[in-house]
Order: sequence, then structure tokens, then C-alpha cells
Amino acid sequence: MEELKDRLEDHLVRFTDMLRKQGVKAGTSELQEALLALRYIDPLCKTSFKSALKATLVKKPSELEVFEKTFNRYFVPATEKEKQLEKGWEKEANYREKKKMAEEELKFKEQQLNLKEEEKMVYASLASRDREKIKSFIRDSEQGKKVDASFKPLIESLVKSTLRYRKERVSHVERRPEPVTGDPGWDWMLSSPEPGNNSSASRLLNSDFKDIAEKDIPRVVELSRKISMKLAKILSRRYKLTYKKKKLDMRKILRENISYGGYLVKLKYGHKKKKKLRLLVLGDVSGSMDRYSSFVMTFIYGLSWAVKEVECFVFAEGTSRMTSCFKKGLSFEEVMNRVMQKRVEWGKGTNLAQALERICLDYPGWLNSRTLVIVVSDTRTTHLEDSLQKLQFIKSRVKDVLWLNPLPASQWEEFSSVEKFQHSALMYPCSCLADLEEVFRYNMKI
Amino acid sequence: MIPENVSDLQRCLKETGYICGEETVLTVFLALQLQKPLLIEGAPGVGKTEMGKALSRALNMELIRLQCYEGLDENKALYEWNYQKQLISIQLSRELQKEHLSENDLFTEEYLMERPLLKAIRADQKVVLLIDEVDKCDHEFEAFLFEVLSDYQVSIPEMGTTEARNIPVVILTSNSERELSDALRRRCIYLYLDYPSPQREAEIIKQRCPQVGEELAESVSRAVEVLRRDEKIQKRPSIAETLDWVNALVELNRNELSPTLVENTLNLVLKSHRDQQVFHQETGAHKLLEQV
Repeated sequence: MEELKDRLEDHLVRFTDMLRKQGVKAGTSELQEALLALRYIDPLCKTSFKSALKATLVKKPSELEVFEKTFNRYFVPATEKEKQLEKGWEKEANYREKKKMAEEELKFKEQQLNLKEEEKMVYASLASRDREKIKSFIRDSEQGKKVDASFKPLIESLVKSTLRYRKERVSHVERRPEPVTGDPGWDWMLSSPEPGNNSSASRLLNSDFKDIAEKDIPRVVELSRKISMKLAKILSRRYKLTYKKKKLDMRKILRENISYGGYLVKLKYGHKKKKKLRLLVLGDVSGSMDRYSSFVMTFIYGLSWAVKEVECFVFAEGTSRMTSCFKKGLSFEEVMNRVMQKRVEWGKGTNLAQALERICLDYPGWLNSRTLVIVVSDTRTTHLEDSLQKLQFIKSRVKDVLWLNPLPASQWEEFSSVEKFQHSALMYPCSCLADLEEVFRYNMKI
Repeated sequence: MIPENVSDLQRCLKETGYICGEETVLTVFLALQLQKPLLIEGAPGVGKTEMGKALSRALNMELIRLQCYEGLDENKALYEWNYQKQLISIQLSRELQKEHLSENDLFTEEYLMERPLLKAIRADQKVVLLIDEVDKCDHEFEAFLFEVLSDYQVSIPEMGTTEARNIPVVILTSNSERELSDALRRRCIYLYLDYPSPQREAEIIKQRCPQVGEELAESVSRAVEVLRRDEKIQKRPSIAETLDWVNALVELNRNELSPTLVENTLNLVLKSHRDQQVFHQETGAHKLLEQV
């Protein structure tokens, strides 16, 4: 019995550690609580055991899914677990093999091309005919006159461009799961979808905006609107107490206490008038944001439903005010029709500086402490220094500037503009609806 | 007073009219046994507040409710000195030329106005303290709250520290409008309540409206489930609204749902013009009943 107890404790420690590595905030006290809870239930009854662990280790709705997934994979008979782990290791071996193949085949003058892991996997996912084309391009380049190893960066750049182009046309590029447990077998096992949990809402919440199919757009619009309404509530409420220590209002007190012969029996306090937050949204619809423009539009659409005072602009090389298009009560299709009639210049270059300039000149009344500015853009813009200066100016006048960047955080290092804009705005990666929810629910402390 | 096992607790709750799944009961049972606050989250209308009320009935304990809102502070939640009464006492002692009142005479039980938190801590009997919609209060109050909930004691500067005579059963509810701090969450046992399954909702209907026929209870619960699944509907019908609908149908002497009846009584479950419009455009009564 003691041995069984020790093994159970050991498993519980490992299970909690696994949850922790996936972001569940289960500390030592939660673990102690879980062990304590097991005293009151029958640990051999799986349902009770699971419920007890859930009640003590999970503290947020967002952690429930991780818990379910990990529990259903961890607490299974040993043979089944081994089988699943073997599968995970097989996937890992397969992934490594593909990566190795790409590394061996993509060489210039016997030197490996400096490619990212994702690019190597795009190469490995190509049809052999397409791979052969890339290889023959490298071979032909090697044989050119006066071509030496110094040409490698140029070849790398060309191969990268080809792979970027091909990536859009490949149905599936294998991705290695984030290393969370330290055991690749477990990582693959945890990254596989939960059987029975194929809810489309969950799928859409976690799909990158650029991967969302056209048929899913109406549902994404709905989900986006719901999330926007939630975030609008968060934004428009004043959780910082500004008038908690109310000031005595002597005029009101004297008037109220005349009937008591001037004795101050009743106290009256002065209130500050409550002012709701206003939103000023700037959506980037330039060429680099092309794949995310539907997100920009659904996001603004959702906000326009939820917030009373919202000014919306979209920008590329020029800027268009869209507030009138997003009239509350209109369907998304109606809004898009109105947007189309506006003749916005979609898909060109980006000039954030002129968009910010226009706001400063035409809407100075919006630049005060009641306004929160939200920029949705990948930061790639011309006139970078000018944009930075203007953003800094706006930031000094408004409550804050939030920047939702659809580029995954792992790619931020590649763009110097990201780092520069981070000095003037609170920047969050936001490539799917789940990210958007995460930003507003857990990260934002405005 | 606290049931010894999960099935006893489930029976007690059922007797009060609160029907829930085994997982829910087990979580509540653990919170009671471990003497930890129970934090219940979930969509509006799934029965979070009702759980606190049902628990007080099931455990035969007094229910003390603290409704949270923006601007709620310690004065309204913990205690306040009765300023007016103190002032009148001072005036009376002066008018009647009694002995001069000292500060100690003015800060006594007589002038202390207990608010829900202090009342729960000083109660002679174990009570159920329901802190409702905790997500609506401010960060500062939340921080104050978890201090109270971790030690079950409060300090009144003029009177000293008061420790809980009986640790209350604490239920906190939240609609997740604002993210609660990790510190508060860590001090609680967590329960996420979802809408009940159609079978469980039919059971609730039969429990709450005994005069309703089985067939009607089942078709109403399935119809409500279809409405809840529709993501275009903004405000999903709560359990209370389902019960309102059933009661209305019973009043109308109906034993089954028909398209006309659904059309005429829909406003009992869909309470915004937009949701009703969406329902008429996207689903409609006929299609709804086909899915039931």
C-alpha cells in the first residue's frame, strides 16, 4: 500500500510538472492540495481522481483544455502510454530525417545553406520534381564562371525566396511541437489533437488568420465579434480606483444638514464624473498584411459592435477613415460592401507616418487621456523614423498605444522595425483569435 | 453538518432543487473538506449563484451574500462606524451634561456596523458566504479579499484583530468579465460550470416544475440546447430562462412545442431584438423543432 502511495505521489509530481511546462500555473501548494484532496476520494475511481486533480491543479478556464489533454495521455495503462510514446518518437525520427535530407541536399560549394528549420521543412515537403529544380539551380550556380563561396549569401537569399513562394502552395508543412516537456516523444504526443475534441470553435480560435478558409470567415467574424465585445468590456471599465477616497463636498454637506440645526450628521461626498474609454483603431491593409486584412476588418467590425466611441482607419500608402462603414447593427457583408465603395487602396506599400500625421492634424480632439490607440500591423513601413516620431508624439498624449502584430513572435527578430516600435507601444503577437483573447484577458494591464 | 461523502452531498443538493453532475459535486465536496474557498466561473445563467444558495439550504447554514460591483470598498464589505449615531451620542452627552465621552466609549460594538465579510467571520454558527460576481470589483478590493480569505481574520484598528469563530463556507462567483489575479485563484478550489446537458436540464425542469410533462421537458431542453449551440446568438438562454419558458407553456396548458407556440413565446428565451432577428433569419421555428 505504501509503495502504491509513493508511486501515485511520484506520478502526480511528474504530471504536475508536465502541466507546468505547458503553462498551467500549478505550484507546490496546488500539488499539496491535490495530494490532500486524494484522501477524500477513492483514487482507484478514475472519474473522481480526475475531478479531484482538476479542482485543485486547474485555476483558469484556459487551463482546462491542457489539463484534459495531458490527463488523458498521462493516466493511461502503461502499455498504451508506451505505444503512444513510440509513435511520438517515430514522428520525431521522421522529422529529423527530413531535416537532415534538406541539410544535405541544400549545399553550395560543399557548404550548408543557412536556412531556418521551417524553410528546411518546406523543402522536405515539396514534390521530388520541385526539389530537383532547386537542387539543379544550386548546381548550375556553382558551375558559373568566377563563382566562389562568397556567392553563398546570394544563393541563400534566392533559395529562401523560392521556398517562401512554394510554402504558400504546399498543403502541409510539418512543424515540430514546441519543446515543453524535454522529451520529444511526449511533445509530439501532447501536440496531437485530442480525440473527440474537434470543436470548430476551438480549431478556428487557434488557426492562423492567414490560414482561415473563406467558408469559415462568417464564423470567424462571429467569434471575433464576441471576443471584441469581451475586450471592450475590459477596456471600458475603470478598475483603477480614481475616486475611492472620496472628497467631502462641503456645499452638499451644509445643505443636507440644515435640517439638523447645522450639526454635521450626514456626510456627502464629491464624485468625479465617470468617463468611458474611447478607441482609435488603425488597421494596416498593405501588401505585406494582405493575408491578414480579413482579420483587420473582422477585428474592427467586432470592436464597432462593442464600443460606443470608436474611430477606425485603414492605411496602406494612403489612409481612409472607416468609422461610417462600421455602423452598429450592420451585418459583416453590408459592412464589407460599404468598405468596397470607399475605394480603399488595398495591398500596396505601407506608410504609417502619413496615417499618424493625418490623425494628428484632423483628429486632435481624440488625442487625450481617454483614448486608447490600437494599431494592427506587421510594423513593415516606409518612413520608419518619421513613423516612430509621430507614434511617440501620439503616445505622449493618449492613454496608451497597443500594437497587435500578426507576425509570430519568433519572427520578430528578423525585423528591426518591430524592436523600434516596441519602445512606443505595447506590442503583442496576434496571429489567431486565441492570441487576441490572450492579449486582452491575461497580458494587458491598462 | 457537512456531508461525509459525495453522494450524501449530491442528495442534499438535489433535495434543495439543485441538480448537477458528479464532477461538480465532488469539487464542492473537496472545497468543504479542505476548508478552501470555491471559485466558480462560467457563462451567466449556468447556476453559479444558485450553487451558493443551494449549498446554504443543503447544509442548513445561514447565507451571507456580498454582491461585488465597481467601487466596492472595505467600508461596504467589512465594517463601518455608525458616524451619525456616534455624533448623536456626543451631542446627547453634552446636552444632558453627562460624563464626557471618551474615544473608547465611541468605538464599541454599539457603533459598529457589520458588513457581510465581518458578519461571516464573527458568526456564531458556520455560514455560507457568497461573494457574487467578484470579477466586477476592483483590483485593490480583490487583494484585500484574498488577505481576508487566506487567514479568515480581520483587523479593526480601534478594536483589534478578530479571528473567525467558524471558518465560513466561501463561494466566489465570476462571469470572467475581468481576469482575476493568480493570487486569488491560488487560494481557491476551482470549478468551471458549463450549461447542463439536455438530459440534465430536463431533470432540472421536472424538479422545478413538477406539473410539466416529460415530453415537453425534454423537447424544451433540446430546443434550448440548439439555441445555445448557435454561435450567432449573442445572449444564450440561461437555465432560469428555460424554466420561465416551461412555466409559460404550462400556464398555456401546452404539452408539446409547435412552430406557432415557439414563435409566440420565443421572447422568453431570446431577450434581444438582434438575437430574435438572427433566429428568424437563420433557424426559424420549423427548423428548430426539426432538430429537437
